[in-house]
Amino acid sequence: MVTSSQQLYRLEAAYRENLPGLLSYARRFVAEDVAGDLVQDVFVRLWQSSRAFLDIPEGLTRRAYLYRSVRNACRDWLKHQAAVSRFEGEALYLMKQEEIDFSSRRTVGEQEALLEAVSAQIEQLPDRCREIFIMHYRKRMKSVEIAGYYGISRRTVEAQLYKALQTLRNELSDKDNIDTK
Amino acid sequence: MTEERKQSLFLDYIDGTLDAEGMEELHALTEADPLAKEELFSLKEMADMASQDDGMSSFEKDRRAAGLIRAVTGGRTLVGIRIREILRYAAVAAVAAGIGVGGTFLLRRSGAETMTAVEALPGSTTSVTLPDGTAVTLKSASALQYDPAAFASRERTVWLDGEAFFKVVADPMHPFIVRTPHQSVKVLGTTFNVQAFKADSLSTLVLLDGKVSLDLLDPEGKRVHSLEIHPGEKCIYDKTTGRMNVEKISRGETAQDWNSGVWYFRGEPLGRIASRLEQYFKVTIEVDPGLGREGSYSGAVSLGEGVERILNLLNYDNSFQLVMLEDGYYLLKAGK
Repeated sequence: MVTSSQQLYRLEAAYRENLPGLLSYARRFVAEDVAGDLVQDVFVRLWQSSRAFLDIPEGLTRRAYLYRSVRNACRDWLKHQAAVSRFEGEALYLMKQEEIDFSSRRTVGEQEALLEAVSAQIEQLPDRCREIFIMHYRKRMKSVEIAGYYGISRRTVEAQLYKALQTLRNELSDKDNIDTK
Repeated sequence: MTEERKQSLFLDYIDGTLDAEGMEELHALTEADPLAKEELFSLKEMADMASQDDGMSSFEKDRRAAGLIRAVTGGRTLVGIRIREILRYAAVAAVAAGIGVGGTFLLRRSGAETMTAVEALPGSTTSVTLPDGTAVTLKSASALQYDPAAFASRERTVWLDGEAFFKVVADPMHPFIVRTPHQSVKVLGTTFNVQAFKADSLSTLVLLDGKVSLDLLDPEGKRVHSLEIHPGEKCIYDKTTGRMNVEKISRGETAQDWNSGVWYFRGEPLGRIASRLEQYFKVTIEVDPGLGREGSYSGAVSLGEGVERILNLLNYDNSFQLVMLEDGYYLLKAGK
């Protein structure tokens, strides 16, 4: 018989282990603070329900379960927002729901493989293009800031960003191009 | 729609900066053109993968884990279930503002074989007379080291972790230097108090007479700033923020007080006060993150009173509940 405090310990360990990945995932669809709340809610609900989850060893099965739970939590939240917002900003919530559905076509394993593949593919971009890409998406510099840095137009920066994303997509969006472990 | 307009809508959507009007336009486009929708989400996925953070700071994890534990335990049954495990996080959250990370402490660097070490145990003070006749009162939980051989021949250097009161014998040929993790105090002959616990964010120097020059050091021990302190002045240096403040000591703050362990604070947050009391009394004092971290406590306490009495004094307005733990205290926000 596992005591409550040991279970609590396991819950916390699972939370810590999966927090960065789950938060990144949720942030794709909802705002930062909402993402934090939703991920925490998922674990609170796990705790309040059967807790059988805690007996699943750390691994793909467990991660798949958690990602699915977070995905559903995000979808429910967006549906609720779309309902209460009526017309105001409804398009955003609809778009985001569709984006969630799109993301669900990849398994957790495929998604993790894609993450690595993207990192590798970024290195293959032409120098200037890669620099601009990293400045924007990793270092979170705005297009105008990058434009100022290089002394080029904002339009040029955006064209580079767009080109880089298209290149990555062409190389990687096909599942067969990615090694799944 | 032009290709340029589409690119602009796509990039703004990916960055999350698209306004409501643009969103309507984009939604209409993707509803009419399933291929465009597939393209948009696919590009967004690439950007999401590219911008995914490598990890999360352990502080951030601690903070969030504390939130989860609080949520599943309802925040009120803390005492029942392995309180130690839970409170760890509360403590981390509360003292983060007060304690800096890192900082090479010079005590360790100085080749311990030739060193003489003096230590005052928690709750007691120790008086020691150095080879040159300088009198040092070492306060609770503090340690002092010096090299007797070098002391006689060159500069008189002592390394301090904690708090000590110095009455330095004048000797112009041999400057007296007190090294702490973040300060170097150079004096000729004077009376002063240094408070610099290595785990504590604040270093305080109080000068009662004479004149000292104070060097503020970075974590590598390099000098970043020099200044002179005059009698009746107090210099407080916060290594976390890098801010330094020189002020006149308040009336009533006398040599006697500093030497007898009276501790003054002005507008300090509870978390910082708790971390200092922790140092001084060598107990664990953890603070509910719900208790404000903004400066709010001013006053003076006599450290001889004992930690529990001091905590009760701080709780004059019943803002928290003092929970006793095996090796310390937990300040639980009232009304939970």
